[in-house]
Amino acid sequence: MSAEITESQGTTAVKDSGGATVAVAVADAPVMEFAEAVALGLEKFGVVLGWAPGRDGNLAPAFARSAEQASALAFGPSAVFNPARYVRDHTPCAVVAKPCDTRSLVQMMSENMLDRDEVFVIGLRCPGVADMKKVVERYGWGARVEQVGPDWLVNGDKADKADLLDARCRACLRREPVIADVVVGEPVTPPAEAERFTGLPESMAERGAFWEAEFGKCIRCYACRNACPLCYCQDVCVAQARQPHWLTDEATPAENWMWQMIRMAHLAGRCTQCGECNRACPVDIRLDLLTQELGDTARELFDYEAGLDPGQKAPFVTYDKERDEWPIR
Amino acid sequence: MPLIAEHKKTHTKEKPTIVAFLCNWCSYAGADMAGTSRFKQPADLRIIRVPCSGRLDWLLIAKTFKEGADGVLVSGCHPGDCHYTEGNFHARRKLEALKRYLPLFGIEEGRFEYTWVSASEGKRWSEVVSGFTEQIHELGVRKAG
Amino acid sequence: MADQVSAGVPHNTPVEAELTFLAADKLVAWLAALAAREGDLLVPDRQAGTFVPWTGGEPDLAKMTATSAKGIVLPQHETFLSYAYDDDGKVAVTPRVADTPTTVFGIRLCDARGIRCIDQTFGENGPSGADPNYTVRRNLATFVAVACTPADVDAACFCATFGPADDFGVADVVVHPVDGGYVVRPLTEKGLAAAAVAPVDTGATVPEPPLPSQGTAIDIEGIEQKLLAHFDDDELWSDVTEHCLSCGACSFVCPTCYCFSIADEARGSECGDRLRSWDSCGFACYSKEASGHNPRGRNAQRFRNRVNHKFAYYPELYNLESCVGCGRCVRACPAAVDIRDMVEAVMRRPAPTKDGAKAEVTA
Repeated sequence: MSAEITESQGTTAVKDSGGATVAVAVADAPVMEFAEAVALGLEKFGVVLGWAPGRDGNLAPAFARSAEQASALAFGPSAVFNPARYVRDHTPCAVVAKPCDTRSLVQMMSENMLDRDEVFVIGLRCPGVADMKKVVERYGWGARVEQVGPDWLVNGDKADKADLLDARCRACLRREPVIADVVVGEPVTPPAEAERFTGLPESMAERGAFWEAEFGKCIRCYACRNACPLCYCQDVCVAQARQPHWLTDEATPAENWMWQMIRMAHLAGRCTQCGECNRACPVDIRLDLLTQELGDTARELFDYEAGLDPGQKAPFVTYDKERDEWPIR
Repeated sequence: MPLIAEHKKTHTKEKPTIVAFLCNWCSYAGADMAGTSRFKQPADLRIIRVPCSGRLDWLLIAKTFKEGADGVLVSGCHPGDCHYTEGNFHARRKLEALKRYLPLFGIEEGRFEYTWVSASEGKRWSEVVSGFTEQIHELGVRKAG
Repeated sequence: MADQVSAGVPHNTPVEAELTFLAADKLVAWLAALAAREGDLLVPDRQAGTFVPWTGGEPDLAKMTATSAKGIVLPQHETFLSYAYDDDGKVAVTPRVADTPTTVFGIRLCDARGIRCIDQTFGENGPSGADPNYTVRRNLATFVAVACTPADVDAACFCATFGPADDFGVADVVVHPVDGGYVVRPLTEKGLAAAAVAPVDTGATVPEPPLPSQGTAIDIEGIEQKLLAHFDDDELWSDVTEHCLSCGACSFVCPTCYCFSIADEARGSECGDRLRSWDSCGFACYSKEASGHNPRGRNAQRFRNRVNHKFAYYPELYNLESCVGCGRCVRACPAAVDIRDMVEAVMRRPAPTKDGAKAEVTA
């Protein structure tokens, strides 16, 4: 996995398939302090999407429209939310974005959902964020996670950062934003290996039982869909349509599997593995195993990673006559 | 899907439910030719005709499995010979990807396949059907769920 | 002790019964006895986030499940009638109702209070009279609630806002964890029947159970009037709801939310079902009309409706908030929306001035 990432470690201009530069190269983007970057974004577009402390002191999504509100914006291990999800309803705007969030922005650009010039990207160099569900499990609801120097503290006490690091961050080698107008933060050394999401049973029979149990939990709240920065349809989603009527509202394992197949089908070649669907699920269904599969298939079949090049066409809207030869019966 | 529900009512453990989506111009004609030429082929496989393999939403295939099918086969025109020029080029990518997604959920490799059969390939069609049906018989009827 | 009789649901006759003591090592035996009765026995499964059939062993009675117990009486989906062509070619309609008695062991008191809220609408005194499917399930269900200890309460709980610790809602039995076991408190006829099969220690002195633990209350004094006064305060509502994703997570995990959608599903060409399934006022299309007009097209409008329903409209109709302070919505929300933030924003918002000018945002 490391080989494909090297080229986008913040040193190359983001070019489209024609070779033209369509985005500011991160290497060319000025590096500045967080507050300065936010002030610049606020001045440019009047609103900055980011995170600010919420009720329990952890960060929550925030929309800063004044200097006072902007001064509350911050970054830290609890900045788990993907602000790209909110960008499409707030353009033109500035957005503070982790590397994974910048991939969502690029994917939106490649789909013409976002124009490059209607977003000011404050790209963060990111050491990863916390698995807040694990924090709650270990320390209880409201436990405050913050970064002080190189350490992560929970309720003021030093915590095991490696243990609390979100699995989606351990699966990611990016520590630099993919696209940025300005860059914030010290360079972070990426890990040598990306971890995989584990837990899928080996045998087919066990897999059937595994997903029967997972999808048995689903209550069809559609938090996964609504948290996804690329699910633009939201309520007019085909899953809730009468024509075509792919599935009913009955939250049975079979119907719920069909629901996730719709998500996989509609995100194939587009999903950037930002992990928000997995985090959003109130009953902790292993959606990370599905998004991992989407990424694996795009890479193995088409040598493609979503959200890196705004000019690149997603694999399922195009084809390559010579390349696409796979063995058939 | 009424087709599968009905089929499951009348067929037992020994008879898996096998569904094939055939494109109208090549594969369906090829299957037709196999019939008129009296090529021997098992009757387990039920055919659904679509205008083009490119029309296939992979959700159609997913739903077919969800309703209880034990095997799904897709057949279209050979790439380059699509009646609609490029339908099967798009289909090829989607179907190859779907082949990888299904085992994630415990639907064994071999239960879903796609192939290309032209209108004149009646013999080939009967071989495809025989081979695929045998394969599904070996894999057996899927457990519920 | 709060009144356990739910308005218009005429089956949970309250009883005054003696408390008994069940030793901790006898809990499984009680469950076995309950399981031996007709019907199902469900226990909490924190992994699944809901109540599942008991398959033996010690139940997990710590904390609450991610989803609530309302699914026992108002399931996520329920077929309530079926239709089919009969031999004469006419359409025969068959009502469908549940028929399995269900004992649910290990609900929390917030679950029990939540069902009391839903009883108001779905019971006899509700706007449409007693809902037949709900009433049947309600009659068939026996709720054994476990009182919370301090370890079961977390910072998302705020149940003290809505009533005292000894408000047992519509629980049929309350089980209080104490040293060495549990104090069993039957509250209704059904509860007596469930407690009767418990291998209680008849010789033991029954310790006085502590009051159940509660989550910290928030101030909602006068919230009903304040909400109505701030109905048109667009700035207030837009501001506090901007990060809501309009999914259904909060409504679906909530013990008091009961909105449903109805759909007909053909099951072939000759027959089908009419079913209802959970709906959420948070969904963008919740109020969308056939004409295409959507009176609550903006997130702010939908969330205002949600808060108003819980804290203004329900109290006006039934003298009861449609919120029990369990905090499930807070824990479930992927976007860090906390209903307490909204309520507090309304509480501290200065009243609109007489000439209609909007008040300044204070915090």
